[in-house]
Amino acid sequence: MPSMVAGCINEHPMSGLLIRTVRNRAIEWQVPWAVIYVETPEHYELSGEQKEDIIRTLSRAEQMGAQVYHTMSPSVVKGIREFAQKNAVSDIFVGTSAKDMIPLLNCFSVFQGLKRYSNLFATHSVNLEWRSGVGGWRLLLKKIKSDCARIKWRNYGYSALTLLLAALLGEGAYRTAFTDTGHHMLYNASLLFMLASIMNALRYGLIPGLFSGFFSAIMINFLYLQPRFELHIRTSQDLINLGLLVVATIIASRIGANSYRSIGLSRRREERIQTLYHLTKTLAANRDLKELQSALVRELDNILETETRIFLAEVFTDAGELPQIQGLIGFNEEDVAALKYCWANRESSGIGTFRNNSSSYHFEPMIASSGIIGVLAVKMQPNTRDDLSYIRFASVLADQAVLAIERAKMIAEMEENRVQQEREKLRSSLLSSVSHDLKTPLASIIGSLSALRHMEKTLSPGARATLLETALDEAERLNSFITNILNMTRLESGAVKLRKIWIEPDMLITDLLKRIQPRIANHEITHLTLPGHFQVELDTPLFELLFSNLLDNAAKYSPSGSGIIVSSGIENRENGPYWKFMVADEGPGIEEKDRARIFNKFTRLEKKDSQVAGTGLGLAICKAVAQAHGGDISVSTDERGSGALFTVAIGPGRYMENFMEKMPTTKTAAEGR
Amino acid sequence: MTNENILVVDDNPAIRTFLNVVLKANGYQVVEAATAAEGLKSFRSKHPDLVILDLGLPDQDGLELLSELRAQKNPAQVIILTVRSEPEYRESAIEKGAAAYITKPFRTNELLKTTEQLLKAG
Repeated sequence: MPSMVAGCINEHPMSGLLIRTVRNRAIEWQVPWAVIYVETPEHYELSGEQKEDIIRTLSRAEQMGAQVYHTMSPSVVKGIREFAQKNAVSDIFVGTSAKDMIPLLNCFSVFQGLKRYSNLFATHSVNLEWRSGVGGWRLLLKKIKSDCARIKWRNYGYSALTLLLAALLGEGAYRTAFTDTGHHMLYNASLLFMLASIMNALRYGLIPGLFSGFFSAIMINFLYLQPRFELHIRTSQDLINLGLLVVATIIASRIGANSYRSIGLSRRREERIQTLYHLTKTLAANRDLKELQSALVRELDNILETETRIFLAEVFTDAGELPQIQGLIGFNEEDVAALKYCWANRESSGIGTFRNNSSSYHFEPMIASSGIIGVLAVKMQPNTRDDLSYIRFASVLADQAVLAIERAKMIAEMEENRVQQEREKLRSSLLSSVSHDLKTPLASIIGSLSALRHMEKTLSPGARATLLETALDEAERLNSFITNILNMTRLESGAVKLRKIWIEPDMLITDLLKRIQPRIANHEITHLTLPGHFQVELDTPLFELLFSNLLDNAAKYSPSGSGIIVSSGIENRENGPYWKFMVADEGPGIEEKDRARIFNKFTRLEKKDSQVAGTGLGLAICKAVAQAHGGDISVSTDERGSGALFTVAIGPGRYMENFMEKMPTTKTAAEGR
Repeated sequence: MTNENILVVDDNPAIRTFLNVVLKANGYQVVEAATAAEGLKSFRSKHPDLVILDLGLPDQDGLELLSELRAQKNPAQVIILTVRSEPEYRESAIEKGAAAYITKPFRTNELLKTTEQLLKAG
């Protein structure tokens, strides 16, 4: 039973026939099918056009549903055998051409080579050239013609020049050093020609190397074998010598060419592995999608040594159209068409494919598990357009890019979810906080009022007075809460227009302390004033908001009977002296980690904090007021102990005339105490 | 009037004052507690006939205190008096043994009627 069929293609222009045959057989047998190309050192002898043909054939096979493999191996037969064993291939199809028909010579063909492994798989041949009748002959002629057209005659010219040089050198040595016509000269000349042939093999490839080998033999015969200047071989010894020279040259050329290529190959492989590793590392560091995309393009530009672009899903409309976007600058119509084709059909397009291959870009679809997420465009340079492994490599890189993008998307999604959840949590906590803060005072108010109404007779005058007072107090608390919310909203939306006046802050503080006194009667307040006359520009009602919130906060979070110190100071900043207003309490203080957070809206630090009457708005309002005055607020630990020390800086202020010289500038009142 | 003893556990001083005045005017004796710990202590020493309990207490959730109070040797009836109006709190409180669940703000009559009924039944 066949398990899998595979077709082995080469640069032959009729390779398309081979893959169609393989596909038909696979459909008939209902088995998967594969197309393989084995890259041997001879691959480098191929012309650019032939290499492009191979890429296109592989690309077409992929579009037709084949699994496409591209392996590197010293010989085609070895490569196919290894591939077949690894993938459990039962049937191999290879193309045969006219030269495989020639008896004896065909024993070196791939087909004959593969037949030796009949225990592993069955080998079938597909005749790519031979057609009976006139058409067949025409095809054959055409192929020979095109083969000849591809030969790089220049390389042969250079090879001939090298040999000529060797001949001249040899002749020079012959005339100066030796007068005798002995065999020594033959050996020396042989080595000289062999060296030239190997050099040609290394430089211009295998075929010019072999050509040099044969040509060397003829030259040696002509120049050094007796009789000189004749192609006549007199002794069997000479014949053997010449034969050995040719064989040695062939072997050396082959080895030389192979090792030269394989060094290049392995170096390239090594480089690419390094590159992939580096790329993966770089991409993993980028978490933001926008950042990632630009990093990707930058990396790919470097790796592929060309210009690359990434078109992600959002640039395409639902109909697969591309509205004019910046990424299209420099694209011609063919490029855009290829890009659209790639997006719509999830297939490679552009150079190296059958679709829009007159584009100067190769387009690789970026396919994730969820479907196509974008297109990678690689500008093909003249030296890469026929490089099969380059295109394969670009496709691997596209896969890497997909992984990185998917990862970044997932992280972004998770982040979005988290933010959404946080927002939801904040909203519900805000709602419950607000409703708690509104309902608590209302409970006392409604309770007291309803008692006054229905229990008129049972309540003593004292009890009635207490209830009325409770209701009033709580109503006021409710009012201040609502005012705070409104103020916060207005400050946040920027609706508050500051009406600032120049004022001596300590005078204002003294005034405000008197007003707030009843609310903080349980604490001992110390006010340390600034020893001098300093003015600052304040919106007094707004500052009162800040002041009362800060004082309420200090009173709320420190034990009853403890002290609160309110002090002033001056801090010199770049744009002038700032007034520093400080409130220190003897409460538990604020832990380092919470210090930035406490100025956020509706932040209450501990669980029990949510029970202390408050809105979670107080400090947020303080911050907003300070910022509206061009100042700031911070919290630290009071140097006397563990309590919290809030410092508000507002400014720049000014020293009043006549008092300038007496002013302490850097030392603050708080530090002085 | 038998001078039944009522323990009020609420962190809000205004509510405590209000309840104190109203309950006393109706002939009950009132013990106040501002925290759960204080509440538990007073419960053990004063053996109240009824507890009016807030859920949002600074040191412990009122529902936990409710469970503890109900687990005492001579459990008293408990009225929950809270701003939490979500049904899951009400269900949880009833399940844990609360006799009544009143949400703030409330009418004094409503509270007094419930108090009277519970004390009579107990």
